[in-house]
Amino acid sequence: MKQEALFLPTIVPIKEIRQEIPLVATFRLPKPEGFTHKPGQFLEVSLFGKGEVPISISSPPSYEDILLTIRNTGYVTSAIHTLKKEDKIGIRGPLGNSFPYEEYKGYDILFVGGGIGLAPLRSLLWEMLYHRGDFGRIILLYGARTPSDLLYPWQYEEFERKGVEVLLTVDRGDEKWTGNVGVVTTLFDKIKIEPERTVAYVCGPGIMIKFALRDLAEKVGIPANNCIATLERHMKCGVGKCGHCVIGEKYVCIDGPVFRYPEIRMLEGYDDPW
Amino acid sequence: MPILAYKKISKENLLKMLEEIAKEEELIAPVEMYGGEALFQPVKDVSDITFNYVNTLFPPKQFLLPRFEKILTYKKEDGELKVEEVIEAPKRTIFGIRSCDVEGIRYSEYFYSGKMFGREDLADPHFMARRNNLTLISVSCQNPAPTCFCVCCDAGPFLEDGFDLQLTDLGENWLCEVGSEKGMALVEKFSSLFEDAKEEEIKRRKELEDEVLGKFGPYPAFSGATLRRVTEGNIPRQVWESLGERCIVCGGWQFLCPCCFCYTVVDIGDENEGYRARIWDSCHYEGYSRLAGGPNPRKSRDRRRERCIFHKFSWQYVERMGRHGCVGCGRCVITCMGYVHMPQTVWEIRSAFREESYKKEAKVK
Amino acid sequence: MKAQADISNVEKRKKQPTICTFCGCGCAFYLFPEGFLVPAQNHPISRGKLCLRGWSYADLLFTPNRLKTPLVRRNAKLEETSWDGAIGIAGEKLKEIRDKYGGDAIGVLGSARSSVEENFTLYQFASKVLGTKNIDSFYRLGFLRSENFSFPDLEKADQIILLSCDIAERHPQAASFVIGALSQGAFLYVIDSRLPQMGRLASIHIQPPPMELLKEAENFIDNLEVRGNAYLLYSSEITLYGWAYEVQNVLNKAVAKGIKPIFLCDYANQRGMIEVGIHPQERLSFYEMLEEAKKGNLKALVIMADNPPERFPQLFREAREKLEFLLVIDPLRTDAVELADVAIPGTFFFEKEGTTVNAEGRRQALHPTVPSTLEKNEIDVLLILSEKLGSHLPFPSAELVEMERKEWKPELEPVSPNPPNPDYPFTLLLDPSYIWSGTAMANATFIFKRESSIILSDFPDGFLNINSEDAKEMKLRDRTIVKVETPRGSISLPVMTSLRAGRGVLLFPLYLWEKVVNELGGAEIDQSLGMPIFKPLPARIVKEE
Repeated sequence: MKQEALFLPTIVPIKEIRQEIPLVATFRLPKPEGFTHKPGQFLEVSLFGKGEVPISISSPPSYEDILLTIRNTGYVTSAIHTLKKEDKIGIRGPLGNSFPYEEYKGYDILFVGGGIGLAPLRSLLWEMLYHRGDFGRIILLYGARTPSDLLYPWQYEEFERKGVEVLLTVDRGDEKWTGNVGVVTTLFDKIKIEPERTVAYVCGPGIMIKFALRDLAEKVGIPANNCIATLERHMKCGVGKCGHCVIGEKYVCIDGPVFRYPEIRMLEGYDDPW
Repeated sequence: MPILAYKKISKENLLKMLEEIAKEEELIAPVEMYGGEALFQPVKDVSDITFNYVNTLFPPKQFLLPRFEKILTYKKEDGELKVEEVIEAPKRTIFGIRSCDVEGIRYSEYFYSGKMFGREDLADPHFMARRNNLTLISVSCQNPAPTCFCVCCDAGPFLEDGFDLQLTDLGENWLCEVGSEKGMALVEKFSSLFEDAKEEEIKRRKELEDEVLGKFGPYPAFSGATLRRVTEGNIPRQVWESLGERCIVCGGWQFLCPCCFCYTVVDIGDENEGYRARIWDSCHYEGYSRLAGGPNPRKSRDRRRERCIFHKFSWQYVERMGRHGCVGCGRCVITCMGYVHMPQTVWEIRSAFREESYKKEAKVK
Repeated sequence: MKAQADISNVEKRKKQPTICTFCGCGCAFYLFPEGFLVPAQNHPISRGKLCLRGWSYADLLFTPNRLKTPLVRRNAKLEETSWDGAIGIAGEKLKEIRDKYGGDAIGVLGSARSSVEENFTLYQFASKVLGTKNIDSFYRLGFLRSENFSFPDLEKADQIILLSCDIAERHPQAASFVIGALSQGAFLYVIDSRLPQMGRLASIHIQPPPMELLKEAENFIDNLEVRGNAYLLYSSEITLYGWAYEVQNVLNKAVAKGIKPIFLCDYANQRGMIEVGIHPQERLSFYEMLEEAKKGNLKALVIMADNPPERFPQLFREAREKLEFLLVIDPLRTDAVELADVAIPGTFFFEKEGTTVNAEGRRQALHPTVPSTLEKNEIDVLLILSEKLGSHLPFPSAELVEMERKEWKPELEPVSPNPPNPDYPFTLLLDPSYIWSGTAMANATFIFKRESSIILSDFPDGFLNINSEDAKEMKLRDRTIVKVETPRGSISLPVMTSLRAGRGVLLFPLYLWEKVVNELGGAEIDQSLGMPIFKPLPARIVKEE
């Protein structure tokens, strides 16, 4: 990314739009020339005339296209949801830091996701499946509010086939739900892991991240440095200039969005997410 | 950088030089408004320049980071979306800027150049282009206002560097300290108007600096003590709540402060044609940290004040930015509607640690 | 070397300040065409301070909501047209309606966003050229009286009473003066059924149930030992609750003890517009104009910089359907413009020459500090329209305006309050808060639009503000839907719990007025003031979910 074009988006057409769950859709974009990213990074997605929003990349670097899972939740995202195939969209990036994972070869991997938090985690999970032999057990603990809010249900079977242990939970079941009921941290008792050789990646609503990281480090016993979360904040520039995404002294768009637990535990503004 | 040269210029010759500068580039200097206030404005006629001010209500911030700035334009042509960056960086000279504002420019430059993160590839192109085309001719303060406290904040009334030329009023002449290559080039360009300064004139400048230090008013900020308290993170909640109670959420402090530069981005136009602009934003506004859909990590006023002071006065930021975020210009004292400006905040933080009752409830991390 | 320039030239080149168009404080600032603004430091009201709205004001220079060209409705769509075309059509239609139905079939609405001279010309146009006495403005909502005072004096007060007055939100500059007084040792007494921000700074905060507020205020004043300069501030809550007549007892007691009452008006040039005739003139008031239009008795409406749909959207739409002609002159593309037959662009305060009068009664000059690009301004348009209707109006010179202006002192009549009812232990109270949310002026800015829209995004279906303790007792959480039952009907709303509502008080914001009133038996009018009111209403809560 050249300095002169710091705020200049690249225009790409939308190849495909896939409705996921209510209010959430995945947009498939072609990779611009020379584009590579690392799992955990995000893009600033522009819809001219409306604005720009930060969206994490939910496809792995080894995948041919860019997949962005976007929820219809505000002014810009609701306009993005009215777009169709072939419509043009602007992207800037990849921005932010990425999940550390190369150093965890041979470890057991624990993914803890809540709601739409599975989207950024999937880019790492999927990338690991391209190199499945490099890692030990891969466990996905995922929870959502209701069964119809579970994201990417069509992909769980593929994950299981490739050696991922998938455990799901919902806050509120329905008549057909036979699985676990409770917040995702209730799944911690249901798995048996060796904490010294496990690394955990967490993403979800702010309050969930706070409790999940705490329980993983204190109850489950995973070393705090191996408890890793990707945080979300209101962003405008994505390159550390506008100041909106600051937590304590960290700029979520540059020092993050991926943080290790010890880094964020003492940050001003972290202890009461919202 | 140490002072490169000590020169002297007569008051008449200074105006001659400014007049020449105004012909070639934009000259920004304090100009008197209708109500008698001084404000930095572009001048064509040097007789418009006023010397009758301590400091302007607004730092010349908008010449580096305009309040409303177009950063890119977009247009749909033949089905193709063309997007173009807009960089406006005219050559400018700011005359009459004070030391506190020069420090403010240095602070914001350190941030916008990406040096804070060690990521100069993320330097803001607009800001850097304007900064590179900017010459600073500062005028040192000899009569601080009652609201000034730069002396507590390492930002004046005289600086060692950061300026291109620093002028000190010696009566009939200005003593001119050259602080950079750009300043040296300027002096050489107008060499016929400058003379070398004499020993006693340089001595007089040092004497004037000592004199000024004794003239400061009742707003000391004791930044060192505040820095320690904020860094330790055990300031009782009551302090922030008490400040939040009186805050009217006007945002004025963040707009006037030479060390504040947060902005938000808006798109203006429809899907066929328009532009993207950035506008100054204030961290005290409710919508500053609010995510789309409603969650807001800083919903209450006390939280927003806490975040602002942490950004300005914590060792974590001093480490990253090279200095703390207050230059003691005193503008927040003038503009704060609820009287909860920087000196008041510092006073309340320090008082909290003197009161027994606060000590009992202090939150220790 | 031009060191000694001509002084008069320098004086002429000096940048003039402009005055804010939002609330009635009348702050001054310097506005620059590149979108930059600075509060005026030597101005007695601003003193270098501005509220969030004032700081956002520069956004108006770039707002996409600006009405740029005249529009005329053809085939149910608004199309761009020339100035002469638009004025021509407007003149024709108004003449037709005036000659066929008489002047009284036309209504005219002025504005607190327009200068004194523009409102004056509009009044002359209405009364002399159209021959109508239906002249008023929606910006008069909540106005009670003109009281001359001085904000700088308020800062020197020793005692300040806020009678149901939320200055931190609606008049931040006034709040700044009050906090300044407090920092110099003044005492603040807040008498309010709510807990406004200033209530937390008060030495004494009395929170009586709404129906007993005025009585408690009288008691308080009786027992107060007045020392030095004392002021009592009140604002549109009093008018909107139907207490315009009753409050006189409180004010008389205050005056008798040496406390100076101050009425804080809500909008920029509210006083200025009223003193040149924009108030009920023996005929229809602003609300009645829409009701009569809805019935088909009013045939045309001429609106200058007013926006009725932002307060009464449904009534305006129903009225509009029956109108034969709607002319709107406004700098912004308001909802009224979108429904107009002819829309003509207007100017902002910073683009015109004129005068505005703030809540203090201070007359402040307006200058075109950022030149307008419009072909004609409002006064030009009105004078040309007069010619088209066969009359000649003189240019509104300062002398002419001075001769005609006078204070409006309506004969107030008592409004009987809703009687308390033991079956309904709560009181439903209108809270004139979020007064700018969803309005055309707020949405014309960027930052203030974001700030004022937060409540609209957080509670898109409206909200009912319940005291946190009451909510805890009734096991109500945010966004629970409750049914509020009153002797006049019932309405369901989501709950918002906070300490702003006193115990036993249910608050709803001003922008929900029409929705609430339509469910609760329709509007009530204070006839003497000619404006709709919402009297505190006994209520009870029934959980719905």
